[in-house]
Amino acid sequence: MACHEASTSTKIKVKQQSITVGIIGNPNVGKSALFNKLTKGKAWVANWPGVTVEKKIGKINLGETSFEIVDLPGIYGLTAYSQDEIIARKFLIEERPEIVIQVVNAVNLERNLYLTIQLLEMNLKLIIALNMIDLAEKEGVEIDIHGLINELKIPIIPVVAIKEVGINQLLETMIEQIDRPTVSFKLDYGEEIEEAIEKISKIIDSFMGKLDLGIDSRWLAIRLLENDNDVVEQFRSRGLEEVIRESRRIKDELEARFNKSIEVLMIEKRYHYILSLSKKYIKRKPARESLTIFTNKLDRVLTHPIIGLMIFISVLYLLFKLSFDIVAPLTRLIEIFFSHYIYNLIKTSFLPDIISSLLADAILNGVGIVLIFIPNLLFLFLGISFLEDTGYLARAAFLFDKWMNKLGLSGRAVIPLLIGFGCNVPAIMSTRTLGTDRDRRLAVFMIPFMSCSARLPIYLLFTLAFFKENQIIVILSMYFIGVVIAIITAILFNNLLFKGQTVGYVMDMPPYLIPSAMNVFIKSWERVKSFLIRAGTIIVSLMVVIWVLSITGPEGYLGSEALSVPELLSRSWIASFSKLLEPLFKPFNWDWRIIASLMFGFIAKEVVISSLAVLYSAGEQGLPSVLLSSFTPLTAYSLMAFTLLYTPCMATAATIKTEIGLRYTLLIVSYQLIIAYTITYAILLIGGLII
Amino acid sequence: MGYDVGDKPLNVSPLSNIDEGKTVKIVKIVGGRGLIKRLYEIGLLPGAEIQVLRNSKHGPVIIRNNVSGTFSLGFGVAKKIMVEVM
Ligand SMILES: Nc1nc2c(ncn2[C@@H]2O[C@H](COP(=O)(O)OP(=O)(O)OP(=O)(O)O)[C@@H](O)[C@H]2O)c(=O)[nH]1
Repeated sequence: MACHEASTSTKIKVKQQSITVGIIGNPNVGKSALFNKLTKGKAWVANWPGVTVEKKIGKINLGETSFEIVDLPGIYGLTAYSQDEIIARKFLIEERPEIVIQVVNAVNLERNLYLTIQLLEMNLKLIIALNMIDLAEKEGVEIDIHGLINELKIPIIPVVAIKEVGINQLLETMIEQIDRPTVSFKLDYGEEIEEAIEKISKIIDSFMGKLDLGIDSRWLAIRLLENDNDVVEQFRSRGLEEVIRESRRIKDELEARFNKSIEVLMIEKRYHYILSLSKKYIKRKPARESLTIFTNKLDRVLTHPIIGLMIFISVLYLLFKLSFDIVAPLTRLIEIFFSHYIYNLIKTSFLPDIISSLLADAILNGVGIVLIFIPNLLFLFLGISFLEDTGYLARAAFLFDKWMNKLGLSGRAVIPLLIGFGCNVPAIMSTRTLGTDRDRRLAVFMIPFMSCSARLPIYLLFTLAFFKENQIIVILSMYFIGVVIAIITAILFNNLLFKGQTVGYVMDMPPYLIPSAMNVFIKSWERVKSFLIRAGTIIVSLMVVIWVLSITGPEGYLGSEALSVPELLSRSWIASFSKLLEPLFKPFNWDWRIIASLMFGFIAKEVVISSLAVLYSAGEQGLPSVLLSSFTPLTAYSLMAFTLLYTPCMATAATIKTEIGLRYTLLIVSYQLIIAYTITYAILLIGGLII
Repeated sequence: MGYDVGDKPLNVSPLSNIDEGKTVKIVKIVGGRGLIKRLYEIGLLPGAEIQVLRNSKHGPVIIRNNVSGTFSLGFGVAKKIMVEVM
């Protein structure tokens, strides 16, 4: 059905120059595992042009050749749906890497071969890494590799990406391939479609002078028949409307004849071919030790609507418990080291006062805030990556799909939302796995309302002073308010801003596996690093701004003592702004000191407490008694609610910005301010009526 | 497993209605081009036999076959896959 001819168009001959190798494949086939093996864990992260999705690159030198290896997001075919998939597709089509390694899963090879055919049709220099052969063997799947190589005319290397199996052979094959011509592959789509492809290619050829795509016309013709919007756009941007029109006409004619969509027909043809390959080269014997059967058994329990849910909640509880309890001393250590040890070192140095204050109060504090996140983030990410690699997270998404659908999201969104209770920063970062931009933004809008662990100290302080008897209920009510507002937010923005619904949820359920420690660690560290670099810079700069506004005021420079002396601080810009805002908070009976504390709370929510202590001239120990004399229980409760809702903290805001852009960050912050004001107002009104 | 579409299916219903444990054959996918392409690309096309592993009838389903592996499909998607009980 398919025929081959060696093409003479070999373009790369230049040694020393680095050869780009793209790693592509379906989701969950072991791309990252193979990438880590090939690059020995030494990779760096850049951004794909124009989007905030990360691009993982690793360089390796083999002899005199250096390879730049790029890890691509998982795709099933060339039709792209989510941002991730669009990136992978663009890379293949526009950057045309010299070599492409497709990682395929030997256990269900057929589904992977669909992408193989599409890659072959692109005339890319393809190597297949036949991964998971260890599992395939246990599963009783036997693949005639030589037969397949003869048929497809491309190298197929059996590998086990989590071990050393096949890695060297793969590297050798990469070197060999540099000088080999590309094999051109042709799938026979049947007489009528072939005729149409022929006609369209002829038309394209007649315009070849204007096309600088470097792709052969047969492929372009196929993509035009398949209604590939990107390719259509390429023609349009070169003023070749005529080609588009003609190909549409030919396509319509054909569809009328078949009374069926050509796209569908072509996919069917590809699968016919795949099934013919499967018949010849793939044998399935009774499993020796079937992972599929084990997975199905475990799934009877883990995806059970009730038992599954209970297990999930326990797993999540354990994850939080471990990642927050274990690291608490570590976090404390970092804090002591930075905010006491180094802080005092700088403060008592011989530097001029203003410089030492800039270093200590602004920059060091900012760095400290960033670093304090690391142990928590690392442990949370370790837990999440572990669960992800076992295959369990896909099950959690399944369990919640029904509920999340009601909010206009798919089941996958439940994971970022729940992580939000631990810390909003990793929660927002983990929305990357959500299918579309729309789903991602919607989830990011909800996350700041998940009451993170940094808000707990505030609740504790106020409940200790005002609600000693009902402490737990009052604290739980905060979490409840947050969740309710998050749900309302989803419904609101689903109808206002992010219209439309989540794309149909179609998710691969990988078999349960024991994760490789190296992969889990690399994945987690990459995420932490990304927070450090991207959010870190924003946080430190914001700290400097806040510092300047605290030690200067309308009268000019106040001196760095302003940070600890209430009289001075009350003349700072921050205090002036707060006083300016006082009328706005008149209905709440809040004076400027509360407003100023809330402004400082942007740094990190728990800072609200220390700021209140400074402004009310109370040591932290004495704060409850000072509060008792100047607050009523109702004001205290409303202040707790306001702190929960009013703005994401600086680290969260910085993360939102790096993930979905400044415009949405500003929108989220203003939206939250309005919500916080409204809810606080409502609490005071209703509270006033009851009491 | 074959991928031939039978002539006149007798017993066609949406995948979302099928009991757990049943094996069915896909007859048709009624949905937009995007959804059809996505499902076709992962091997869920007319003629494919699939086993229903999990279905609560008002939420997502889990299905599997040798070609595609195991997938979970949202309720909305499952409603659009017309299948014939074998
Ligand atoms: N037994 C076995 N497990 C493997 C092999 N290769 C990968 N895995 C496991 O398969 C799972 C998925 O691997 P990843 O490398 O995350 O797959 P991926 O293709 O990068 O996945 P996405 O990035 O989600 O698309 C992990 O749990 C790996 O440890 C293999 O050859 N044998």
